[in-house]
Amino acid sequence: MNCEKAAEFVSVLCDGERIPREVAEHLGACEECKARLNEYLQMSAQLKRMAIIAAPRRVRDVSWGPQETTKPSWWQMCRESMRRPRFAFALLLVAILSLGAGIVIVRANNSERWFQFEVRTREGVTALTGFMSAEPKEPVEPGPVITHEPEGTLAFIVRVLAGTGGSEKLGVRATWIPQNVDQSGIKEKVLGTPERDFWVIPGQRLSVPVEDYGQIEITGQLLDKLPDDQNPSEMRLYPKEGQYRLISPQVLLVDGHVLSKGGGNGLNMLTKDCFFAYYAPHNGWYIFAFNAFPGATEGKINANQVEFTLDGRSYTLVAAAPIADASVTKIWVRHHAGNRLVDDEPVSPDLDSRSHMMFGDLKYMLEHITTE
Amino acid sequence: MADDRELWERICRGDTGAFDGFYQENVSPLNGFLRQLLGNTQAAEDVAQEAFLHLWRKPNGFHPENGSLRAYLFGIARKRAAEWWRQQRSTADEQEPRKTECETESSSLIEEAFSKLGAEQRSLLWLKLVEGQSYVELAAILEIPVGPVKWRLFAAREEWRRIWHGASAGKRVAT
Repeated sequence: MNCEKAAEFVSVLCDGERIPREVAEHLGACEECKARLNEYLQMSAQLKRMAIIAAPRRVRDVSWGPQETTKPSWWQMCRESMRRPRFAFALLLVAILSLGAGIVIVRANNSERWFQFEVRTREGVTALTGFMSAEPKEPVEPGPVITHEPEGTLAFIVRVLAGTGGSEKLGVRATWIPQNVDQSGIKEKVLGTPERDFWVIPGQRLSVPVEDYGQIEITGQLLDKLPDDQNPSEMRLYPKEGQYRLISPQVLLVDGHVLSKGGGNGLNMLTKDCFFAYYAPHNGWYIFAFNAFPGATEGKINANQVEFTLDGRSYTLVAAAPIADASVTKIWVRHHAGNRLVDDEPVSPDLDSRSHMMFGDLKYMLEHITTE
Repeated sequence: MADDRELWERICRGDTGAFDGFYQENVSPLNGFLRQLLGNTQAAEDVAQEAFLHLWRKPNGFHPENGSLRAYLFGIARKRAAEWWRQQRSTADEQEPRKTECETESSSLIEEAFSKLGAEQRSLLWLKLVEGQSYVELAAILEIPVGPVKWRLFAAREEWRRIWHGASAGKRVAT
């Protein structure tokens, strides 16, 4: 131990904190450090005296007036006119990546840092994992995550508002709807919840209280770059076992002809309980899931292609990379006519004329699917 | 912290009595903090008032799990003080009003050295040494991670000491 190393602990000692034994031994024997300690204490005492002298002479009488009521934020207002998957779901991805693989690539090339995060329910179950820019110029607008539990439904939105000095400022909206309460309009309910700000230090656990529910926990870490299996520019050929994805660009062929192309930004880290749906303009939705579901036809996954037959016609959905690990070959498909897939999906004439995608929990989607 | 939550909940419900109590308890320390930060008694009182009003009007910005209501109030005040300084700079280039008052009221080299520290370091030292805020509360007020707080306090003390010793040497040379 030398004085240089001990100096910081002298300051810590003045703050009333414990210091290591070896530092204490050094302080006991070192005149220079003792002098520093004495001076620190002298400075502290002088500042306290100064505070007493500087104490204000009087306290103003004040009237506080009315409190402001919470208004919807600009972001909340904007969301109402946007069309996004309204129910990204448990264990699912990356609402953020799904918003724009193109954006991800650009940012990755710019050496942007990433906040890899995980949200857990009160039972410790992972409800969401994902990546967000650690220092966003503009906060992204992820869709709500809705998780069903036996006693009710938890819905939340987590996003990075800002990052500075190694800390992340998160914006969290979360609401709990008990089973005995009307379960409709969950999206509106979570969007109507005030966004709360939290500073989280990567590596530490942030507990966010949710009224009548308990706490959700958010943990995360900073990454200098996206992991190879998340970065579209360095992605592994096949997803890991149990993970599914649909990387852009996508093309939907029918009887060898292009029915629709493009359609979104790609979905990553889907799980077996998820669905994804592809919207072909003027043709409706094609719903895909990795489990059988009512009305669905069995199709085949062949690396980056899904092959299926509907009404005697042969379809192929082509993605830019393999969809599942090589051992998975089955997939179920169903067509759903109309522009709206689920009942809480907002109207957007602009998007109705373009191909796009939706993803989420299969069970939830089937409960909310619109009538054709 | 449980008391803080209860107090906050009462404030959220518009309980002026509860807020008055909080005001009476904290207005003097907050004014003291702001006086050393701004170097102007009137401005300090105005900024303190703004901070209290902000808390009263928008109590939902406080999260009991993140720290004390008092620390939250000081955090608001610190930001308002920074805004005040920005406005001052835009109206009067390079003026440093804090020195005027501090110097006239200063009776020691230590005080004088303190007044020469940057605003961030003065805030940090005042909140720790006078207000007795914990590292966690300091991190919340200053919007920095907890880890570097210790180091920043040390750096502030060293800078303060360096200026003090420099001033002492100057005095000795002058006399």
